[in-house]
Amino acid sequence: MNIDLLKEKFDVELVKSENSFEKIRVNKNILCDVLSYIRNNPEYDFERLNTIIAVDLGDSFELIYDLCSKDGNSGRVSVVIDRNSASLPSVVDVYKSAYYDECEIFDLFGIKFENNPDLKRLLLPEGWIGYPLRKDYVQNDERLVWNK
Amino acid sequence: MSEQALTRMKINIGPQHPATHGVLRLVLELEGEVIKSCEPVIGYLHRGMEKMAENRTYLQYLPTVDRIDYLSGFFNSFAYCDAVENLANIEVSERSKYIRVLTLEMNRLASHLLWLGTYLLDMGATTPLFYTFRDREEILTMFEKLTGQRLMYNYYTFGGVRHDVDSDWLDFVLDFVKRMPRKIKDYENIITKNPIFVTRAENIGVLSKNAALQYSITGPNLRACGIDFDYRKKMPYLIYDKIDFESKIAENGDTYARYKVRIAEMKECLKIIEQCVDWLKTNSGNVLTNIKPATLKVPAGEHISYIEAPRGLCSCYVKSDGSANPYRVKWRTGSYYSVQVLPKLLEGAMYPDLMAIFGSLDVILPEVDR
Repeated sequence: MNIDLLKEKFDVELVKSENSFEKIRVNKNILCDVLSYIRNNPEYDFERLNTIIAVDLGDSFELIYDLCSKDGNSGRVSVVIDRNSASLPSVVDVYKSAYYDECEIFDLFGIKFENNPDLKRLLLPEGWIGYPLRKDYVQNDERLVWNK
Repeated sequence: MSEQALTRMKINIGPQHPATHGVLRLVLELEGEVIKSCEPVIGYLHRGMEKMAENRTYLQYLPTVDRIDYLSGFFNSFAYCDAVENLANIEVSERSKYIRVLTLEMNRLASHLLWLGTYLLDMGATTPLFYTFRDREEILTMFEKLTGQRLMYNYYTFGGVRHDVDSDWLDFVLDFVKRMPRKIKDYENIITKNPIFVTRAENIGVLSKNAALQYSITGPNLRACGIDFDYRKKMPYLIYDKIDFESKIAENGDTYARYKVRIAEMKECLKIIEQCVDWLKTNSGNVLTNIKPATLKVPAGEHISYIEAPRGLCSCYVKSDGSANPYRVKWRTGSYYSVQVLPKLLEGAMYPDLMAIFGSLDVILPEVDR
């Protein structure tokens, strides 16, 4: 996707992984602004948020917002946040479908989303200890986790 | 009715309920017969599919992905294979691409047939179930002949499919495809213009275009709102760009429109299947690239695959760090978002319409909880 237009307005950079998978890296403070800009700007027209993907990178977490435009172009916006203060703004106001995604990430990664209307454990039972998709999660005997 | 009778009542549906086709719990707030709010509670079928991937090698994980959506196992299998093949730069031969499209579309047809039968059963029509299951049974028998399994196929592998199809099997498929249009016509005769069904299904559960996009609805549910978005057309994968078919849309976004889109899609499936069989009968070639899946080395990188599954976009994100196991696998499935939009569709609806609306979304719960 064409990033020049976005670069004029925001402080963003294009990052590529080893197999030239492209992502637009933004700071978490401007995440909502960038998303609503590329959603409403006819140049980009990213009308749908497919999903949010969280990845544990060791000392930080990466969140990839996978977007889809009207013409079937895909765009990815990526945010890297610190592990110790794992929180970032919620994008529910921009894309309503993000609500379940954010709850799931909170559930499995323990990342908090500010301003999410009702952040709760979605897939795991309430009272589950730990966040299973974090790389340092110890897979306990399930009964021990329940009975604590 | 007196004032008192209209006080709000909380009612719990599920988790075990015959019409939810899985384990879904709905907490409803009713005022008389009008639904005021609905809160879906999911997670009863959570099996940790994404965590499982991190503890297995690429090949060991392959048989489990069929279980994500047991009614359309080929789609999940293909989404995962596609992501890994892209990461490891594995070429897939033309013949296996055709076999993949053939099996995918047969699977879509089987999945839609099951939906049609159970959806009408939810609405109180018992007869169509037996007809659609009869036809679905034929497809499952063909799958059993080809892969040895009726639902969890484990037929695709990195670089192609496990073994070639033989010409007897293709004749069998062709014979089925020739007979099927007449049967779909029968269904249309007894359902599509049936006044009881039409009055029941029209103008309930209306989803606007804008809401569909906001809630990330994909697949037939999105096309029923009048938005022509089909991943097979917009981002063609495999050999869909060489095949003649249409993506079908309807206008109103109500449950009847969702029914019409799926019926129309079933006819398109038959068109695609026929073209694939013709090609496979006249061409030959390898079905498996010469790689050893068991010792597969996947270089570091990331990839997302986008597949048009019967219940919307099925996409699989795979991140590799160069080791034997995937670093991270993320599944995005259509039903997950269909459940999320349910409270919006049910707001202000009548309680008896609940299952008519829910059924029309074609939600499958293992896919929601993963």
